[in-house]
Parts: sequence; C-alpha cells; structure tokens
Amino acid sequence: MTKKLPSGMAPPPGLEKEQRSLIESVLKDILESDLPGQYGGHTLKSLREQQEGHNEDLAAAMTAEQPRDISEKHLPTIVQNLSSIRSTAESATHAIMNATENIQGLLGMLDEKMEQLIRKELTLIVQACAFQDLTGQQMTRIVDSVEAIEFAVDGILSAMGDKNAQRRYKEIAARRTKEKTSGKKTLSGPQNIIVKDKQAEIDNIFDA
Amino acid sequence: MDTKTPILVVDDYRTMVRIIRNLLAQLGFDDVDDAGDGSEALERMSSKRYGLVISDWNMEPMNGLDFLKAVRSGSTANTHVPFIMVTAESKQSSVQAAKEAGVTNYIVKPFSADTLRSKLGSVLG
Repeated sequence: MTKKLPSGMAPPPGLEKEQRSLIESVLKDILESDLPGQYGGHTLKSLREQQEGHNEDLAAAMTAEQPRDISEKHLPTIVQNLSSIRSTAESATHAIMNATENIQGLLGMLDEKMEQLIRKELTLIVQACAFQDLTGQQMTRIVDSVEAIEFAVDGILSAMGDKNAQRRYKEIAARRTKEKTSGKKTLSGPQNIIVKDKQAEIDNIFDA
Repeated sequence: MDTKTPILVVDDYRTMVRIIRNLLAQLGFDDVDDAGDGSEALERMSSKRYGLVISDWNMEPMNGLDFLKAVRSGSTANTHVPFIMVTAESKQSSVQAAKEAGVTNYIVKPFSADTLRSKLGSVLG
C-alpha cells in the first residue's frame, strides 16, 4: 500500500510547538525508514538527493557554463561567420566587376545599337555591386553589437571570478576606450539598406 | 561637363572606388585618382589641384566630414574644390552638418548612374 505524504516536507506554519515537533519526528522516521513504494524513506531521500544534484547542475549551467559558452564559443563564431560572409561577398563582387569591365572592353566590337543596349545593362550590374559596400557596413554594425554583448557577458563572468573573462573584459574595455578616443566607429552606418526617396529628402535640404 | 576635370575619389571600400571610377569612365572622365581615407586624400591634394572631390563619409582614421573640414580650412591648394559626399549616412542632422562644413552636394548610397551624372552636371556645369 502506498503511503501518501503531504506536499512539502516541513510542517505547515501556525502550529503549536508540540504539534510541530511531532510532525517533524514522524517525517524523520519516514525518511529514515525503508518503506516500499514511491514514498518509501530511502527512495524519497534518494529522489531528493538526485533533484538537489539536478538543481546544482542547472544552477551551474545557468550561472557559469552557458555564459562562458556564449562568450568563448558562440559570440566568436558569429563574428567569424560574419567576417567570412563579408570577405566572400567582397571577392564575389570583385569577380563580377572584373567580368563586367572585361565585357565593357569588348563593346567596341559590336554595332552601335547593340553596344548601347549592353552598356546600359552593364551599368545596372555595376550599380548593383554597391550592395557589397552597404552590406559590409551593416555587418560591421552587427559585429559591434555582438562585441557589446560579449562585453556584457564577460562583465558578468568577471564578477563571478572567471579569470579568462576578466582578461577579455579588460581587453575589450581598453579597445573601446581607444576607439572612443580616436573617433573610430563613432559614426552611424547606413540606417537602412533601402534608402528609397532619401536622395529627394536630402536634395530638399540643399535647395532650402 | 568638362570631362577633362581631374577628380579625386575617396573611399575605404575598394569596391565602391571601382564602381565610381567605372561610372565616371562611362561618362568620359579619365583623369581620376583615388584615396582610401581623408588623410591619404589630403596628401594627394597637397601635390595636385583637383576639379572635383567625391568622398565617402564613413572612413577610418579620417572620416569624410573631418576631411571636408580640413579641405575647407585651407590645408591644401584645393580649398574651394567642389566636394560631393557619397554616403549611406542620410540622417538629416548629418546632412546639415556636412552642408555647414561646406559640402557642395550629397549623394545617398545606393545610387544610380543617372544620379551621379545629374550631380556631376549640377556641380561642374
């Protein structure tokens, strides 16, 4: 027969001293006994110890391991991936520009009408290549944001005594101070890749 | 437009320099130099007189606005050179700051060949 215990192992508040003492004594007996079933003494004790172990693991993961993973693995990976994308896009853009300029060099071999048609299309390709400049600036802003997160996480880890985080925190702080002093990275990049009608707005400022 | 006008293109993104040079070549301009930031551009301007400067804003170590101010302050023989800022920096306060610093015109990225042609026409006549 399964014996059911009340939820919680401590006596409820508001009891007389004698009542409290009696309940604590009974609970102690149950915990130290070897009753069958899910609430048997050793089983219960074992379950409680297991849960305490889980709680410690969870606390450790929440307060130490995961932030360290964020700082040491995830954030650097994001930065590396973005840098890789930026460099790949740059290489691809230069390849497109090379091909475009090669074709432009051959336009003289065509009749005038065909030359005009192809030149117009090539101009559109050249214009489109500006995407690399804009996306590159956007990525720089993202990398800056990731670095700000890394700085905050390292600050938390430093406060918890993580030596590696303290070193990284000092490095980033020094770099930020240097950038602030030199004026680097203080300008806003593009507000939006799509700047439709922005030119007209700015023309109005100049006409005013 | 006088296509013999010497032009200095200033941008730290090589791709953008190539794009602007390509579009200028299509418009017939062949006397085009380039520089990677304001400091390098000032060095070039100390030894050559230009008829037009086309500059990015967001560069390091010397950005476009500081470069413009240095040009207008008379640090080279190009104090009054027409100066077009080509940038994605389109906040009104920034545009106003550039205007107050003496920028001649302003092109927002991404721009078309027609926009560049139009601005060159308005600056060079």
